[in-house]
Amino acid sequence: MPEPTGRPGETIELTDVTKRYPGQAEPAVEAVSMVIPAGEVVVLVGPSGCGKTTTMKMINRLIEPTSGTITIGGTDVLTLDPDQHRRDIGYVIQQIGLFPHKRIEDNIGLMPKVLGWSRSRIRARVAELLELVGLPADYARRYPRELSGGQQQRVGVARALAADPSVMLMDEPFGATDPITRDHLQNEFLRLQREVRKTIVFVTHDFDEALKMGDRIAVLRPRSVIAQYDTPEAILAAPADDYVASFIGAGGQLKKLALLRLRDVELAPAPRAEGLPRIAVEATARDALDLMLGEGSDVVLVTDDFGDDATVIGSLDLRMVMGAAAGEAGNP
Amino acid sequence: MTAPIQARRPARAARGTGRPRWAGLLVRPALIVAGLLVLWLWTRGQRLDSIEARNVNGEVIGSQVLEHVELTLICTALTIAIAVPLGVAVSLSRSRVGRVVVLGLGNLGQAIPSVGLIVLLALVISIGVGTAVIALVAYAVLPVLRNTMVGIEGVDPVLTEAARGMGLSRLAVLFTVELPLAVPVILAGVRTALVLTVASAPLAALIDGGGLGEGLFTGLSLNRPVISVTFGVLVAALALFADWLGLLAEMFLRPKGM
Amino acid sequence: MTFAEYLRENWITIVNDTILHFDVTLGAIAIAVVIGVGLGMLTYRHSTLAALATTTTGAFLTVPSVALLGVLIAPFGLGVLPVLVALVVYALLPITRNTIVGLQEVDPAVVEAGRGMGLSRTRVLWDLRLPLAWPVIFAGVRVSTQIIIGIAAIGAWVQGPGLGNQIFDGLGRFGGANSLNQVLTGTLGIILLALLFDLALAGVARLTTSRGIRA
Repeated sequence: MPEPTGRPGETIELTDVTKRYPGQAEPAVEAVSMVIPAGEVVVLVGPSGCGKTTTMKMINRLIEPTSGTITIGGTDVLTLDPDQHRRDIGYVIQQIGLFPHKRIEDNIGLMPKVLGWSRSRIRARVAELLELVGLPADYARRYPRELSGGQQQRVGVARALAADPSVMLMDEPFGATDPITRDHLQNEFLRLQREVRKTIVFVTHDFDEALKMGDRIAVLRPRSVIAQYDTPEAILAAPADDYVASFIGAGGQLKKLALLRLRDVELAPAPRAEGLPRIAVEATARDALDLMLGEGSDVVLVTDDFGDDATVIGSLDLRMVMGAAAGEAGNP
Repeated sequence: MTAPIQARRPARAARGTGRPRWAGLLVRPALIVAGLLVLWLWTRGQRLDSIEARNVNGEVIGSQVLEHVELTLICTALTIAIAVPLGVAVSLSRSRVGRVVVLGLGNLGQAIPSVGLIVLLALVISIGVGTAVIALVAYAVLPVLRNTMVGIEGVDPVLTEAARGMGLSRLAVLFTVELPLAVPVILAGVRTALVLTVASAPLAALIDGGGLGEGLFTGLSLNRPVISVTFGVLVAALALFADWLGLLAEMFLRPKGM
Repeated sequence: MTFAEYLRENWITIVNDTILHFDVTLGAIAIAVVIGVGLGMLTYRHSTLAALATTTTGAFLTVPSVALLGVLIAPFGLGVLPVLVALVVYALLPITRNTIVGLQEVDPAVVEAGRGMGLSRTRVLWDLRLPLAWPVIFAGVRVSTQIIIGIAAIGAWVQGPGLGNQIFDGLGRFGGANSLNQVLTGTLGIILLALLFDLALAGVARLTTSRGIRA
């Protein structure tokens, strides 16, 4: 694997982490303990002001914890020099924060330059990262204001990956984009993460985004108290209490379908019938249901790939989809 | 004198690639040359008496212009050398007292009559170029100091947080993010200081500091309009030219991409 | 003689100079408000004209005061007149620019509401734009005042009125018994006058700004 995937993620462990601001009666974050497994995306989700961003910023010490310990790969981060420590952590924020006076290549190449990489190595790295985030190579010479919001955020992700960190912190990274761009960026990011396998802490207030992005989700109450910390499927199937259930809201069953990939469903043999709607095995059960309702057909053909020349590998009917929602999703 | 006005000046609308309009830039020098030409024609048409002839001639004018420019350059260089580091230090220290003192002085500085300051210093120290330099620098430091602080503090906190989040040290954030982004505001302050210095430099002549003020004040005190007009126009031309140079500097030294 | 003694012995002259300094500043500001606000009202709707108005008045401000006075004595002679003209010229930019900016930046929704009610363009200008822009315009007036109050000191050189006479008298008898006292009186007097003037203008700004838009 080339450089971006060079360093695998490391496990992050928070133990009794508390943040107390002087002059405030209640702590902003109270005794949070959690293990974020290496190479996973863990989403912190909760209402605004619940302390999720504070919790995240304590990991790269933009905010210093009042008490408790944080380790990354077994090393206590509070013993490290903060600047050195942050260089090992990618940081992506909602406002992106590209430096407007620097070209894209200089934005991405800033940390490698600080770390003393050679020019040619930096240039190669920039090209590699632009490709990784799906931007044309000639964007390197542009200035941030010449890019759209979505493109800027891709550069933001590339910049965070530049020095090949083991951990990435992402604070509502796609929050400022329109729904279509957001969906696009989310998909791209999931694809990217399959390649780079970093440990990612992802903060959002959007539960649907949490379901989509997270390998695990931590639903937070005020003061960052963990209400439930589990896989999306488990949270949907068995919300710990009313608070968690209120995030899932209406349509919990549909949300489960959106998590279920067709490749994980046992398919029926393909019928001979012509003219049935087709769907790729990469799609979700929710997509299949959409297609059935849209086409007015209670059977769809499942193909091994996108496109018209893909091979049909099975079929799916309405009853199977509903069964999947009730059974499969709850126990993956 | 013009610091708050400069600071209020709305950012030039960035259209497309923001290419400067070259033709527009040439209007100012053309007007200056035209003004000087008119002055030359006018003085040639006058019958000069012996006092006037002694003051309005190429040699005297040349040496005074040279002195004036020299004085201005020295003062502006000193002003920048003092004000920018000081402004950086004050804003980095995040000291509220320092801030209030500087900004308060900045407002008060406008009200200090330059002629009073320069004569006072001459009385306290001595007459001569040295004192003139001190007075002019003291007068011009405020706008640069103020704009340096305002410029650095005006940098979007998101950018400094992004930079710190990447692991840049405090000093690295200053040099790679804050200072470059503050350049336009600092330059506006420098331009103000430059014009202020050219404009106040004639007062140096009051305390034997040389420059175009010599001819100007001679003309005023002897009530010889030919002399005062000649040197007045020269000083004005120089000030407008300095301001134009400042404008060029602002256009070319501003960080690209903004 | 100590500074205090000097003040005690010469207070009549000093007060007189201060009043004259105040008068010439106030007069210049009054004229500059009429010209500057008028110029702003005439040009704010046309971006080219507005730019022309601000660059021209801006160029005036770039001309050094000593130079302008030197030129102005040719047509106006010595005395109050060249000083008054010079002060008006210097006061124009902040007032004109702030008028233009203030009038332009009035919330378009307010203007549209006014126009929609059937107010004429002139009525909208007088009843809506001008009152709403007033705080901005008045901020320009305050800046102008601070600028010209110091410049007025130089006017004494062309036999103009005001505290500048203390400074130039002191300079004239350089090193003499009271030279330092005189220059100090002139300089501090102008600073004090500027502060009081600004305070007074802040009060006027408050009184003349609609209660609904006061900060």
